[in-house]
Amino acid sequence: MEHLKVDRYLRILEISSGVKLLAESPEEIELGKDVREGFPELFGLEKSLEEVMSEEQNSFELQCISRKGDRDSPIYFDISVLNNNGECGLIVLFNDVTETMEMKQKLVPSANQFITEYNYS
Amino acid sequence: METITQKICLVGDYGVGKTSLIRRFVERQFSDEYLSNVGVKISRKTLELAEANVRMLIWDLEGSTKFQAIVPTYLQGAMGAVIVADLSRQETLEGLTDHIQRFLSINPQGLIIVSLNKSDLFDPLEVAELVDRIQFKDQQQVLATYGTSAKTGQDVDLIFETLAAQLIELA
Repeated sequence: MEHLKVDRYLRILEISSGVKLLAESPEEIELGKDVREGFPELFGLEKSLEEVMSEEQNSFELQCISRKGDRDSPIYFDISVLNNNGECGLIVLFNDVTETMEMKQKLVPSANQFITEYNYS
Repeated sequence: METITQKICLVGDYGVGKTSLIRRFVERQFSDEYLSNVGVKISRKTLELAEANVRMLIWDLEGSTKFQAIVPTYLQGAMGAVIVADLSRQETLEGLTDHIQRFLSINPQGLIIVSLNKSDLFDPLEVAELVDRIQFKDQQQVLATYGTSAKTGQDVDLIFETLAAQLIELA
């Protein structure tokens, strides 16, 4: 599982080796940069992130983020944000769920077809 | 010039053309090939307006169904939404109110544009009548309804530009 650590201002403090492969803008994943530039999914979620930092909330999750970039098919991952052990910052974990989502991708068209028929029956 | 960043979500039932609208707006492309989205994908585009530049983070959400609602965390922190229906599928038009309410329940100050998509399948007069009928005048946060076509590009830029211009006021 890949991870990042950020400070209270969401500046990157620590980067695991494979995180750049998951970023929307890999060049933005550098120490001291705002994590939201590399992972724009976190933009707008500042209130929830602050609540995790202040331990009002245990964690925050964003599931099934899709990233294609130059790949032939997208990769999918979940983002979990945890408190950095009371150190006034956050740990951001990235869990690859590509296999599960590829399976879902295969099932969704037939499920939608069923729903369409159900709606018009 | 100042640049403001705003999160915008495209919300609607499956197959209404959310991804195609984004693709038309961001990449200036359209494909008839339909592939259901799973999960969520972000696209970015910056609009240069007279008052400021608006960097739009556009969230393409997996289409919802009767059996699968939109995940609320995806909507969190969005200042704007384009709620999309397919003019050729009545049930997607009937679902608009639910989508509007769901978005506003999470973002009460958020602004909404309603897009009645696939307008190229209908006579323009018919589209105009439907657009006129499907207004949400009782909902202050709904800015306007437009008949759009990701295929022809009809009013696609307009929906995003209208939303961006109003979002500057909120920033």
